[in-house]
Amino acid sequence: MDNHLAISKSKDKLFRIIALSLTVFALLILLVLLADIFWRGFGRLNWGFFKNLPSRHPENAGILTAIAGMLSLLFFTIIIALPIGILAGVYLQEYRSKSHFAKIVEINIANLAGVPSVIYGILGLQLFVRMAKMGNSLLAGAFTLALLIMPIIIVSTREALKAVPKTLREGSYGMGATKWQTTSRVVIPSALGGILTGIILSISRAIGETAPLLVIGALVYVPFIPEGPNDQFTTLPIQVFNWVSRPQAGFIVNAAAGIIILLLITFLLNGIAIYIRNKWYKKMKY
Amino acid sequence: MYKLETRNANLFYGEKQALKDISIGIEPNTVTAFIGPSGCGKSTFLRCFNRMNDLIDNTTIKGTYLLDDEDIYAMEEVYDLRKKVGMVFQKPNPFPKTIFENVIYGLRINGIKDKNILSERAELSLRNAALWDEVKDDLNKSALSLSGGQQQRLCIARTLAVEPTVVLMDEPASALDPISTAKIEDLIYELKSKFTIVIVTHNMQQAARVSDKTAFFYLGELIEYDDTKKIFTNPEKERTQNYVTGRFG
Amino acid sequence: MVNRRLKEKMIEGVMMLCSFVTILTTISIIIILAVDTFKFFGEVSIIDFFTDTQWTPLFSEKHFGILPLLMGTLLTTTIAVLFAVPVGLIIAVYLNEYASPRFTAIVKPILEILAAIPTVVYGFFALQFVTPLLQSFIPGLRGFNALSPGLVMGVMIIPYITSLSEDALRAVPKSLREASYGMGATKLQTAFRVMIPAASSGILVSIILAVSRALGETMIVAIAAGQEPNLTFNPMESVETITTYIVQVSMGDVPQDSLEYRTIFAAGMTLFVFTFILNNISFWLRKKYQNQYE
Repeated sequence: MDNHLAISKSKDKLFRIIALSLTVFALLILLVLLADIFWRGFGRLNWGFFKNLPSRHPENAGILTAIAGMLSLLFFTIIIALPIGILAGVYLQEYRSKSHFAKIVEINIANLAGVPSVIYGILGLQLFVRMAKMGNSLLAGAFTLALLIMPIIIVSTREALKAVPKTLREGSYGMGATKWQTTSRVVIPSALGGILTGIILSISRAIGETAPLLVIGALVYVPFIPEGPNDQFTTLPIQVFNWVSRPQAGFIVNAAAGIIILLLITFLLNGIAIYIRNKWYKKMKY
Repeated sequence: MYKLETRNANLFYGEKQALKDISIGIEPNTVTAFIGPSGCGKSTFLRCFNRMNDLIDNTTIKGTYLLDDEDIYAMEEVYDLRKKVGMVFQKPNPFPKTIFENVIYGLRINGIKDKNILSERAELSLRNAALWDEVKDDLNKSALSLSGGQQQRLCIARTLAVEPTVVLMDEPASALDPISTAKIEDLIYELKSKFTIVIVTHNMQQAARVSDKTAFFYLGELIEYDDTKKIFTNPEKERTQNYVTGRFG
Repeated sequence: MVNRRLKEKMIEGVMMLCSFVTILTTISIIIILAVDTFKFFGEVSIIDFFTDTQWTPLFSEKHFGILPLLMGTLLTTTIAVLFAVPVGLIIAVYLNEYASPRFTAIVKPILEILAAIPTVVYGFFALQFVTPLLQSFIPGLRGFNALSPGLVMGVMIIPYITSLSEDALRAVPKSLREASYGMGATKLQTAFRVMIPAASSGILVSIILAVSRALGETMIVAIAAGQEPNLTFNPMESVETITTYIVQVSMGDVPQDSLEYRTIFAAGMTLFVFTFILNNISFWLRKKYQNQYE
């Protein structure tokens, strides 16, 4: 009996060591990844990198068009996805939360969240690029990404609305306000922090997307800044992809430098989102 | 003419009957207290008068409910009813807006935009709610920065701003400290001259202090309704006697 | 008054239309994939599609067997899952059973960062760091291989496993854990004999979601696994996944409405069916286990 107990105890100790090591290992991988990228690309970051157009010569190539394309794409994506997503979230949570319809949409959203992003690309290719004749333009890309991030916006809007205390709604109804007045004047403003968090997280997601944009025809070599929604475009992740695929060492350095910028943007957005969510959540707890 | 009246009021939550055949008439410019043990239906009954029970699923309401002799369940727009019958809730629920915006909320949703009218009404309502002196220096502060007692008076002010004729209060002081409670009770006494007030309370001393008439409820039934003095010193029914003397509750 | 009622009804109508958008999205995906897949199978026999061992739609001698692409997808996914599940689970158990709440509160968010990193970054890491590293001690490892992106995908999906499994473990009633300790069991025994079985459906959900994520991954494998279909079980060789193929063809000069173009849809449909089934299984499992401890 004693022997068995001793063995069990040492197994336990061993597991603890292994588990802690694995945890540290996982964290280390993250660290190594960041360090490697940083070490490779940091030296390349100079003004030229930011304002140059792409070029066949790695030393002259820059991310200007990629950043411009990314910002333009984001702009159009947001103005499409935001109103539709928020209104859908409001409707499902405030007007129909217990209905069959809401349940079906809920299941549907859970499904969409698991659809690989390339499939959205195929959808965008057929529906927007070809059938709606948008061509491989910013508009087609924006619609495609908007569909991709819409579930995120809807779910976070619903969660934010759910967190608004019932008593606020009662106070509004008690004064004779209609449902829409209550929703628009009291509930949505109270839920704004949570909704904003969702928006920022969806932007962060959209920024990192590469595959669906490649499928709809975003170009990998775009030596111009897009001027309107019908122009072709490229984005920073696509530019990085383009550079990674080249053999010359100079392009690898460029890729690393581009990744540094990409990661900075991603981390900044996620950090802001978390900050807003924490502040807003505290306010809700009053 | 009664201000509020019900005849054979019945209410069901699904299968369960919460209100049993209640008939009562409330005179204008009086304070009426609804008392009774937890779960006796006094809050439920109160919420019939401004149709807040409409917001709860699976509720069946039977009987006649009158405001100024008009059937409130026959009204086309429930919103008009709620402007005439205001409500103050148990836990203060100011909106996360400025003090000013809270007070004039009811006016804005009625489309009143004139800045002068809004300021005037705001001041008037805050005075009526005995809050003006405490907040007049900064109406643009967030309502959430006020203390609990102040927030509740703010909620009263915003209810008054719509100029209702009836004010329903659902245990308005139960979440407040004794000093704030005393202020609210004084307020109720002041408001009586302009409004008809019905207050639900589980605090019998409070009922005895503020109200003119008292209605005692038990398990969904109206047991006794009479002058407050009579209910607390010499009630007709034994059950009332047992409740007010603390034998149960 | 009527005016206002009309306005409210209109607003409600607009909102309702908005909430249809996601349903329309799913329907569109299914229809668009189905239509061209159907046309594809008008020219290529289904049997060939599932049994031919070569995928060469762009060569002069055309073969349309999905097996090489399927194999590429499954091989990389399997490597990712074989790496991520044990590691992720052990970390989850450690955070739940052994670590202090403060440690967990710090580590969990850092791990979540792994899920937020754009996949091109992982692709770069796989090609430029992991592959050379592995090559230094694995002779015969090609520049493009399945092992490197597989492992990196595994790293990417660790948070999926860890977060959801840890939540599942946390949902197990304290009383079970206390009963086990009360009988003198060690933490290890409690974790593996009591907690994990009790949280098994939640853990299963996390695994299914992680698998689904890995199946649908594109950039990591596009960058580091290779761009030539190759039917093999050997992780040291280069492979092409379904996702890489889709991107590769749509980036190229393939005339639309051609058979070659339709291969995108057939391949996409195959992928969609897999992930769709997996996601639905995980959804119903989650619904079931949510009621388990109430």
